[in-house]
Amino acid sequence: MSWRRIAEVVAKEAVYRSRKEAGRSLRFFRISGGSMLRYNAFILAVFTLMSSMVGLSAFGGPEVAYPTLIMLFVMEIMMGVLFMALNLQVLVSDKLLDPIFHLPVSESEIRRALLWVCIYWGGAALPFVLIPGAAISSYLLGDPMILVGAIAGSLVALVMSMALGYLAGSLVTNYTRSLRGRAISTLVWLLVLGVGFVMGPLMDAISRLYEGGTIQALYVVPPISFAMMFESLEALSSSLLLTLASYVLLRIGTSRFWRVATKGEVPLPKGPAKWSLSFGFAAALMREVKVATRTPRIFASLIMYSFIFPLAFIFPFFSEGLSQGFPGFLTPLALAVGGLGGFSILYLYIMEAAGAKTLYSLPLTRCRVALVKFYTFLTVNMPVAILIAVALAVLIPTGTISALIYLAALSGSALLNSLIYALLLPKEPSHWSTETFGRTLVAVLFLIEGMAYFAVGIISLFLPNELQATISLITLAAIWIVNSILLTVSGRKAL
Amino acid sequence: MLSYEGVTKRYGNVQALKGVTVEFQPSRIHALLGPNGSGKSTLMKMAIGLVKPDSGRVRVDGIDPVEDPISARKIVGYAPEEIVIYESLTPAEYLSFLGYVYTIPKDELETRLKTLIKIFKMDEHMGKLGGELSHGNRRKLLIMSALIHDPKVLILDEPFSGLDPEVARVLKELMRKYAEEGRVVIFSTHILELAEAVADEVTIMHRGEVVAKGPMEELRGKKDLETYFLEVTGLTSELEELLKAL
Repeated sequence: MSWRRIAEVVAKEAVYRSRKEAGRSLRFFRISGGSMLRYNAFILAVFTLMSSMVGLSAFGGPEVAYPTLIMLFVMEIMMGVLFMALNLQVLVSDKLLDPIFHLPVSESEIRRALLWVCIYWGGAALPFVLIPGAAISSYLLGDPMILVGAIAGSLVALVMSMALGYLAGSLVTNYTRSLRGRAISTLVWLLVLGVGFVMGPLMDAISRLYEGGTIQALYVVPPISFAMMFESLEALSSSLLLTLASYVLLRIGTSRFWRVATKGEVPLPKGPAKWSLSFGFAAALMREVKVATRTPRIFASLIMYSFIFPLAFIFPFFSEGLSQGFPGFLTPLALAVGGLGGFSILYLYIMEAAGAKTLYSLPLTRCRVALVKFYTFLTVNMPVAILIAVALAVLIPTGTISALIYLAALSGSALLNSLIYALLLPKEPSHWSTETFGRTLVAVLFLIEGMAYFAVGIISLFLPNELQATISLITLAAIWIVNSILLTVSGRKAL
Repeated sequence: MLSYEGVTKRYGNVQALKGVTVEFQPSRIHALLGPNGSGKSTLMKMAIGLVKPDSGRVRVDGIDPVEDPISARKIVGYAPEEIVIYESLTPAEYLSFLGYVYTIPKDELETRLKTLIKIFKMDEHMGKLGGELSHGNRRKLLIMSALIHDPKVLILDEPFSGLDPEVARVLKELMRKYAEEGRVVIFSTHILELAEAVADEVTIMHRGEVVAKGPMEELRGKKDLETYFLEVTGLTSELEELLKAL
């Protein structure tokens, strides 16, 4: 069996399982799975379209085009890391290389295959995040070196993303026993999932970089450095340094990943492991918290979408509102941050995965499931939520009401969504994932709830300051009324 | 105590159960036999409302599992054939959770678990993660989960698969004890010798129908169980053809 064939088989299985695990549509896998071309064709088309549209910004001259190309370069690396980390985790946790070790295949061939698999995971399409945009910019600015530089830069970005992907993949695997390992894994997942939030600050940093000087300041930043390497010594040094760093990181990343993939990162306990029983509700809560914290990817998603995403989403409105002297606007924003945060209780359902099948043979009502999830959400999230509330109350004058509204909205929305998900769970034993509820349905629910909070914000703009808190309180009351109705309905339905 | 009356179930084009009427009496160990896809698992799942019949009635100790699955699940202990456990939980954590679900008082839970851990030799494995357990220990955990609430009706789907001989023997004795205490005990198996050794009653299913049912002594009187099984399921001629192909 050639190393290319091994790579193809392993890559295909890893993509299939990661899609299944993440609850993504398997129909798409059937369309796109198979040859390397089919794997990359769809994503290549998407990247080309996006990159070409962004590349049109070159109409604004090099001042606009260069920062845009830098952004595309960073995006290529980020996308690569995300693809790699998701699939490599499955490769290790599901021990996909194990059957290969039973075959008469040399270690060097497997190592080569391991390096090649990323090409199947969208790696071949990654350079098209940058190249089409650069080609258009090159044409519009009349500078062919931009395209040449972008081609070189995109290849280095591919190597860099593979290197970082292998490093992340070796850290984000299932550290189920070691507490320190799980903490690192959760942190890495937070970084992987949060890459999108880096783009805004990055663009700000680039703007600041040449605000004080001239556009030449960008010559040392890739991929512009590759285009300028024959004109500037700094650009040449920067390009060579990045190329060397990418290569070294790739060597380190693949070696580290090889060790993890072949040895397994979770040492089995020597002798009997300690254990104890817990009783009553504490046992249920303990079970939920243990499953959540021992599934780093899910735990990171829970933190990300409980706090980081809603805060990042609302923060610009928040600072804008304050700077324009609308302190009353704070309460609807606190309502929205809390409300959107509660939506993330979805991850406490998804974390059950295949284990959920066992719950169906137990005497559980949907209400009981929803309440246990709700209390788990509070247990896990309340420490951070209280810190945010205290910060609101202390840092902002008249922030106490908003802090309370935030806490009530977070808990009210968490219970509301928990009850909705519990009622939507399938009747027959099944593996719980996003696909269980239907991606469209989840998106529609999020949109409806998000629009409701947005509407409250808009209405409150037209109200006097003293009434702005009232409308948020009315919304909260409505959430809790709906909750009590859903509690009654779900209490009658068995899982 | 556990009865099915004219029960039918269809999955798409496949008729899984065709008007099954059968009763499982307490104080007896019932073996449910049949080739793959004969409807055994479907029948077992119906006892706790996991599968709802298209028509007909199921009763567990007077409870309709379709109408009131919660009450049915409280009195039935069910271990499925497919081993599904939480890989990130230890048996101790999972069984503690079951204690909460079945609202078992603390002292009672401790006593029951102490016994179960001892008889299934799980002491050394209670603190391991589910993902670290061997196939046999996973099976034991499933059986312990079915027994933890001291059920009136015990339904075990292929319980002996993967068990070592010592624990298999313990399980047989445990099933006997449960039956002697006046409970309903049902298990399915593909191993006919096992059914002969353990069961008091045998129910043979084929293509969604009960094709034979009776006390083991009665069936033994006719011929050996394997020959009888092949005859009633109509597999004798098929087997002969397969043997010729060898």
